Amino acid sequence: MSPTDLLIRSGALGRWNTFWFPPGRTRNLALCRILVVGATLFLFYPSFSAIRDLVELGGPFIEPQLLIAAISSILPAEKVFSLTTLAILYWITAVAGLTTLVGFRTRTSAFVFAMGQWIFIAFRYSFGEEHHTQALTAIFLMSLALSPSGDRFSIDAWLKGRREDAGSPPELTTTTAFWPLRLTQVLFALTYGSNGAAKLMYGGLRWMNGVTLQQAMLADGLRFERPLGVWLAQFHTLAIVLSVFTILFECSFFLTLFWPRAVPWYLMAGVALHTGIYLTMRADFFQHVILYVVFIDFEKWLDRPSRASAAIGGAHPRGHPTKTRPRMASGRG
Amino acid sequence: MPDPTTHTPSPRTHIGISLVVVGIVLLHAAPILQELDGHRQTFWPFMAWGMYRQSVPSDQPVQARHWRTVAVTTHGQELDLDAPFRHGDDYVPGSPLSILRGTWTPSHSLLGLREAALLRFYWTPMRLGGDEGQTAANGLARQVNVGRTDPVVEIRVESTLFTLTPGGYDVTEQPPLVYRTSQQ
Repeated sequence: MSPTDLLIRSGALGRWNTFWFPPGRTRNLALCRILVVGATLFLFYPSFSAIRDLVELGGPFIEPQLLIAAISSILPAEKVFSLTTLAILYWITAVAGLTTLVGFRTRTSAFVFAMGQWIFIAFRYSFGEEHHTQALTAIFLMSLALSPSGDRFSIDAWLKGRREDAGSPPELTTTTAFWPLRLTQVLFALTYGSNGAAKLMYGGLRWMNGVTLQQAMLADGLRFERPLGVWLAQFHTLAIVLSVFTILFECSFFLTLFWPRAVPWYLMAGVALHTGIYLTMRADFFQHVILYVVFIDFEKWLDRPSRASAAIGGAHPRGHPTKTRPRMASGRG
Repeated sequence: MPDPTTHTPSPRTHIGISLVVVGIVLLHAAPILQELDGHRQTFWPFMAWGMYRQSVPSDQPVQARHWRTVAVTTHGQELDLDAPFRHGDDYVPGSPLSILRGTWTPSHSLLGLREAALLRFYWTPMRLGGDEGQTAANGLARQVNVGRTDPVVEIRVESTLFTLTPGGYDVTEQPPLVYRTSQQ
């Protein structure tokens, strides 16, 4: 029996396909593209002065990231990472971001935008810096290049509709529109889970003794001049409660993959956690908060006008089941 | 007859995507192995996520310092070198114009490097004092003096110690560490 037969017979292949490739429409993915790319462009896009300073004053790389080392091994580093080349790359990336946002040549645009982001952040981190805030977004942006994220709400879709002379293109169902969202959900579970596991492995249950969080809040509150962090660090019982909440949240976030009803609660808890950390310790994970959109099933909101017209006209154009409340994305398109 | 509204990709597409997905998930093990091997992670955007993982014993006092690093020039001008720590990253969440204009503070431009590198190579050794502190101060002054007509000749590291007590914080000013820097 071949491994493929074994996978089919055991049902593992079916479960894998159900998890990653459920049939569904592309509107969710397209909306996530617009929201995440829009936020990356207009809220989180780095200024060029940061890059210019590194080129002019930063000196040689301290610890080149793998991506930078790979580029340097192929092309002359002094030319690729010169101010002129980086300025050109910076604006090409920005333009690619705009074309990804509006969905023009979406796959190519998304690839250029994601790769530009990867290179710029890897370049900056090659000077001894490392942060986690952009990592998941960067991976999500690259996944847009490999998926039909431009099939809806895009210039590509409009042009296709014009070519086919049929107004808007037909509402396609596909099995490849969900995996970028699912991948990001899995990466959220993986990163939160590994963070919680690392706390328990290195710090043990003692991590929840309250003093650990008090110390962290005081140190970062003073370092980043966050009065709220310094003030909250005084309350031992509160620190214990927040520590337990953090560990529970991080270690159980994977439940969102299998239990859609829990998703709204986890997202609200996540927003509260990241906002609290930002206000007290200045770690800004707002890109994570924006990326939470991959958990939301926008189809239900988008269907609302149709349901209204169906209620008036008596029939739904696509025969979707009528529900009144928006659901969280659970893999059912 | 196939449904015209359903796009069914070939099994090869599913296999290809599956390999990408598994590859991305597995790549997250690389920086963890790198850290376990004692190296800093260089696999961005695949990262180890164990932040704030160390614990503090319950009987240890809750205590931290507020640091200020001040550079003094030949004309007596004082430069606040801690601004990068306070102002954070180079983008401002909430600013829709961040794509068009730089948001770095002047101190960033003075130093070029970003906060983690500053902390690692200059701030930490200077706070510890001794020869390593002096070497770091000289290096920092060199960095700040790039293109300056009024060079930095002294770096002062001031600190205030905050200790949590049952009645609130006990705040104590610490004697500053002063480094005279070589003009280069």
